[in-house]
Amino acid sequence: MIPAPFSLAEPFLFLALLLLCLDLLLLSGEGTMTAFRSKTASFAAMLGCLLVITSYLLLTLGFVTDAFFLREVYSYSSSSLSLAFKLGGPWISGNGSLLFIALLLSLLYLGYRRFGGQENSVYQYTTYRVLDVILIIFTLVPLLQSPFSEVTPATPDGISMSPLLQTFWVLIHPPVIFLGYVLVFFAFALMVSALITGQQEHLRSRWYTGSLLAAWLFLAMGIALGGYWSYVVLGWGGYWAWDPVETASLLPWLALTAYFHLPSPGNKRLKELTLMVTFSLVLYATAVTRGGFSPSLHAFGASPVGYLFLGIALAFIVSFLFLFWKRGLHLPPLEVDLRSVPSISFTIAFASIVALLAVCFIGVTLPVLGGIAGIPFSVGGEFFTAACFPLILALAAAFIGCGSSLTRERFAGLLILTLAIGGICALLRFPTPNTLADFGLPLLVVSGGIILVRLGLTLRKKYFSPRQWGRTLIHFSLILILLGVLVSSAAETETMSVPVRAGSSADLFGTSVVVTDILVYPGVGQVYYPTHGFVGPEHASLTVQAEVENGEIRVQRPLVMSYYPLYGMVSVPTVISTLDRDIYLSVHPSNTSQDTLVRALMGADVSPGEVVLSVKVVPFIALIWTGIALMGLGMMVILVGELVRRR
Amino acid sequence: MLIRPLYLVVLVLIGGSIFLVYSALAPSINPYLSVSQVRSGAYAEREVQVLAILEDWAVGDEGALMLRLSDGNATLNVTYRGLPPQGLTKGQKIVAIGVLHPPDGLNATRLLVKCPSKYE
Repeated sequence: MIPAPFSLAEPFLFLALLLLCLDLLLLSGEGTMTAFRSKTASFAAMLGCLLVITSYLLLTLGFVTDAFFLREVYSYSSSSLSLAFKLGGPWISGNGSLLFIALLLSLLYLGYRRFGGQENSVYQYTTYRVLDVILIIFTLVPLLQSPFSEVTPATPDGISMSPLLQTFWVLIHPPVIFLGYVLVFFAFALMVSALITGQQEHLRSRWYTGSLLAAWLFLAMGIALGGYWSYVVLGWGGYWAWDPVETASLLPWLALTAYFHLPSPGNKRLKELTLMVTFSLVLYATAVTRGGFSPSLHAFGASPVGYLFLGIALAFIVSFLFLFWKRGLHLPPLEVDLRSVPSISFTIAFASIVALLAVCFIGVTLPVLGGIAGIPFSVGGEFFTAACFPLILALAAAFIGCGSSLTRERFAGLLILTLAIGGICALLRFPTPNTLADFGLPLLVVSGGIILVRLGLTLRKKYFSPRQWGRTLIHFSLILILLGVLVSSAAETETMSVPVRAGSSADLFGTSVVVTDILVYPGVGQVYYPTHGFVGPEHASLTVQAEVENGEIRVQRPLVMSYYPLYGMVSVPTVISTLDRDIYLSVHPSNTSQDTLVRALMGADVSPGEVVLSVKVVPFIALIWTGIALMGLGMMVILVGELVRRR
Repeated sequence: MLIRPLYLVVLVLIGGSIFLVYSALAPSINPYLSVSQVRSGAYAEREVQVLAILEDWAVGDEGALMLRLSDGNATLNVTYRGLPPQGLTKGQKIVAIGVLHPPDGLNATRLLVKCPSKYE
């Protein structure tokens, strides 16, 4: 029996569900709306949202007060877990994260209901109804997969969070990406409402434009933060693995990017359709992640929630298309001026983004279909590389033409010349050992150079256009990211594991490592061991004090490796970053180090013996992170500019 | 000049990408095999992708990682000479990709271990 106040969380969610349904019901007859009915509906919705928020706070309270009788707290926390991870526990945990999405949606809905304006308009009532439906879904799912289920019998402690999750990045990556998802839901609700009521002028509001641009920004930064987390902690220097879950998260962002690159910006129908695709892809990404349809580095086991989200996405698509058909709407033709290089470039950019989206969708969906059919298989990263490479080059070519005053002939000549240089570089295998990278680099460099010139010209203008500034920055940042990806992946070097002892040194492909000392720390922390039924120390660690020298770099860094009986050997890599390369240094598990740490965990006084080190040198990886930062800046410039303009 | 059915241009581009997708996709589809399937003899000297439970592992000569994978019915020895993934624990599901050399086992070039995140 779960004690109060935690026992109230599920009833609160259920009550919130009922209140949101009541709001939906009361708003359904907007033609006969009375002041009393409108106020009752508003009260029901606000109370419903507050109950969702309270349920979330109760889960957070469970984490903070070590309520290990709650399965979610037991599975992701322990008494020795730091407060920051306890506060983040709800969104880090599996079922709690669904409640976190409901929380974000509730907060946004409350804000819109309070400050959205025009309280009594038909458009507003319709928007509330759509938001009600979405919030009902995201309140229902945590009830079906409840984070408030009980552990019986109760345990004295929890099994704690995986040590790989106990990093700063887990505190920001999920909230950022979830916020992106929720903003897509919100913009979708505003758009559907405009479509139902025929009041398209609302799609020029700050709420709509702001939420779309903010969603674009948050989705991009969420994906980037996940990549950086993987690079510095999880993936031994790998930031992207084309895993189905990673690629699925890219889908809504690509769809939203296509939205902002429609060749006919005034084409409302096409915009509506693209946003519908984005919305469905958010639900699809959630289904792929949680459904466990195919083996993935991220998804854990099959869950009915995956099928539920697939069903919801299909239901929305069918309803939307029905609405389209019922209102007699059809897609008008796109427009392109074949005499204008910017117009052609814009169309190429749009087509490339759509094709990239198609490639990623196919690569994610085939294993999902295979998994559902009981024939598990994966689609290798080579597929994505081979299929995306020409599309990326087409996009880079489009950047050259976008906003340029070149004639068609000169534009074509420049492209042919650049590609010819790329061909020669590929034949000579210069400047990297990778032919594809060598072929693409000249085009990227020329494209980047032209965008830089354009940026310089924009700076000289008296009139500051946030949209133009932001767009140029985003294009330049994408070129930087692509350059970083091509060069770093084509020219990275990696050593084999080399055993070292305290006082010894090793030369690892030009990187000198002197080990001054190795310190062993006995068992720390406290977790519950379910197999043995007792509470014991969480982990033991060893720290290698190392002096690292590579070229002009000379630094002293501690390298830490720990043994967690519940999670195995975990090493915290050290990344020494410079402008032109990263030195990625790590300690690796060996029989000796594992024995040492197991005995230290048991409380024995042990000497460290030898440890195994490895070094990886990744050139120009800083281009990727700089590009991502500039992309975020560019998106923010556009967002703030639009918010100010539409004030 | 206004092109009314510009969708045709987009369709040609999408068609082109479908062709690219197809040519890239065909060699990139890798089935997940069980240890029993791999041990049947049909995959000798071929690159395979095995999804199995990690029974045991140790660091062998020259830092190579020696793993024993199982599907409950058969076991497979795997040698891996790269950087071992984080948090390798007995009893977890892993994917080993490499060339099968019977009777020695699998010479893995990649080891995949699930990311611990469950939150998206």
